[in-house]
Amino acid sequence: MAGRGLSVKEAGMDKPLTDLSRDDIVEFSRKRGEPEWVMRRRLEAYEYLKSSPREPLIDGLLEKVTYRVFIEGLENPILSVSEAVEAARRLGVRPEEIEIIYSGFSVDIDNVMVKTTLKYLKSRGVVFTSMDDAVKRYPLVKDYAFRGLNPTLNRKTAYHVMLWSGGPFIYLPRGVRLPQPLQGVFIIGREGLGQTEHTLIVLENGAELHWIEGCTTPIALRYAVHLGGLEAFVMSGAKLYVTSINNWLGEVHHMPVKRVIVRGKQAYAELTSVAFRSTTSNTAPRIDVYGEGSKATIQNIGLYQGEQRVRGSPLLTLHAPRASGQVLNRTVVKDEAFEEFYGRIRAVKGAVGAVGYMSCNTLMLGERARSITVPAVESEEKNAELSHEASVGRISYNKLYYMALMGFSEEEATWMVVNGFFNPVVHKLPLDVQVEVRKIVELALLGH
Amino acid sequence: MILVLIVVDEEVFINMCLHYLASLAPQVRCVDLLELYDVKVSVKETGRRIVHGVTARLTKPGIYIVMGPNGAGKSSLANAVMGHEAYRVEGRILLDGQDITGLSTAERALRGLTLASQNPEEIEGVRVSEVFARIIKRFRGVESTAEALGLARELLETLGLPASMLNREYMVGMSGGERKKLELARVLAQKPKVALLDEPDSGVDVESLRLVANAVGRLVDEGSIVVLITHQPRLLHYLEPSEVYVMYNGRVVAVGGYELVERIENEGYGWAAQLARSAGAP
Repeated sequence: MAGRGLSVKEAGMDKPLTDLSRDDIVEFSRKRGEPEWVMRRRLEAYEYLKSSPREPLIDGLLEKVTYRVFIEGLENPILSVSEAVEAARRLGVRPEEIEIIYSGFSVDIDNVMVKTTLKYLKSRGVVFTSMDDAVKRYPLVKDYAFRGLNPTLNRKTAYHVMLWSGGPFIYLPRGVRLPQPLQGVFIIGREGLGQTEHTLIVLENGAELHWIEGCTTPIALRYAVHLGGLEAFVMSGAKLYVTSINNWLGEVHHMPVKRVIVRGKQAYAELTSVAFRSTTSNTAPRIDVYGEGSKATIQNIGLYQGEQRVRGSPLLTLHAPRASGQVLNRTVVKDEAFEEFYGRIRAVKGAVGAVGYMSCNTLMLGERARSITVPAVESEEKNAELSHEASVGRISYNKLYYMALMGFSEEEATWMVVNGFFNPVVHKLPLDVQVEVRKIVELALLGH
Repeated sequence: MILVLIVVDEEVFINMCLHYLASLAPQVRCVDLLELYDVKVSVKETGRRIVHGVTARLTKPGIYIVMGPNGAGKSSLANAVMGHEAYRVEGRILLDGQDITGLSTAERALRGLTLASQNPEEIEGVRVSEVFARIIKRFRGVESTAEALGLARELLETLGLPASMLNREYMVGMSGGERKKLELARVLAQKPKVALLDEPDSGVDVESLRLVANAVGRLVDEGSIVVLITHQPRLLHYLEPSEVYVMYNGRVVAVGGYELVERIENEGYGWAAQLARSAGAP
């Protein structure tokens, strides 16, 4: 994994990422050898940032990262392949399945299964490569990249587009269904801005994909920001399942941007996030359903602990007649963690017969945990049906006592109840992910 | 074979007995299994005393009936014996000769004491199979999940429950009768030394009473002491109690045999009230 010679002029390297100049962005893009259109998207993002007001929750975190640290992180990952493999294993990826995309480098782990899989994918016309490579080699990328995650969508997205590097591009031709999930692991191996990977997924008519991404760090970091992005386009009859597992160590601020565009009819898209440790987390996954009769789900399960601060603002927009979807949030808040949830479902005028449902359930462990839930449903279409329900609960003494009659200690009982609480979402996920969620919950609640 | 034991002191004897004899024959009991000495129970929050000093020694496997009208203190006593936090307990409670009053509810359960609750809790998202597999592995030393589930199916069958119940969420959306039966199967799974059954017959149809009685019989067959709390004699038509305790206003007012059940069936609890008054109750 040699560096790419992205050496930037020494002068001005110690400025924060929030103070980059137009020239810095032009040079960054040139050094990476990107086509003009990519540079233009980065510059659009730059201009948007110039003209929109600062947001403390976003700019405040990026101000602490210098341009030097950002560039050095891309050039010299401190992570060795074996460290990366170890980190991936901790996320439940079996060694024989490991294919690591690290800041644009595809780590070649000499193993037969990965090679066989890649060969199989290629024979079906599937493209599975890094975005750095894809923007140069595949003209079709231009039609999709940064159109879902438009740089003028909001400030966070603009920062992502301006600074993105690496990540996978996945393209499934018409009718190709992959029986096994594809899996990617994003690892922050160094202090500073850790990851700005960009994932682009395009599913043609009738294609089907389950993409699992795990995000972690091999060691506890002093300070890192995860500003990854994912955009996907789902055509008629296609089905996309995306599962993201986040389990960070150290002071990591998790602020990814995600957007799925369901273009085709009778299609399905599902964004699942499984959120464990981070210092702060600020997520706003969006799905836009443009296809008639298409469906979508945005769901999150999270176990927040310590002094974690979590803000989730999923947005599901139903644009088409008979489009439907749900937003589900099931979280456990313990210790002094604080969760804010601002879920939103919109039915746009013309979405006749659209159906949207939101459900937020929070389980509080301990007296000092806090949670705020503000669900919103907005309908511009009078013939759309949107609803929501919410609950906040604690594990009652009587439940713990009852389970103690079976010999379960308070910790064991809590662990079982929490697993059960997550189950409505977890039981539909791939088996590997289920096992991993259980392990992480076990570690968080039982300490082993 | 004749065993000669030189008894040094009681504790040594008990330990030797537990280690050697009991492992040879499960029926051998070295000490009284459950002993209550002058146990008084009050509600922590209000300070109100609801059990006024109960002494009982349950020494061999069998069915011990506790009868009494609503409010006699039967359920409170049972939950206090299990260590429910709502109650303050005075006096001594011994299990296998060891004082358990300082132990948590889970520790008491792990030592072989449990209660079939009147109100089993729902555990959303957790299947019956998972609960039973965990219990059977822990209490019966079964290692394989398949074997544990096999036994679980058999226990459900004892109570006339279908094997498909294993796939349901624990107690979620079940009828009153299903809950009662599943709760008894759960207690059976634990193979307890002492099982306190708090009105396993209430809300159960006549058809199912026989199944409940079967489960109680099976508990005894497996060597359990069963303490059966009830305020209706119906279930007792199917069982042969070892002893009958009658409680009234927080006191045990009579101890005897099946004749007490018949008396309650014929006369109600009026005579018990009189006995309670003469024992000093208001």
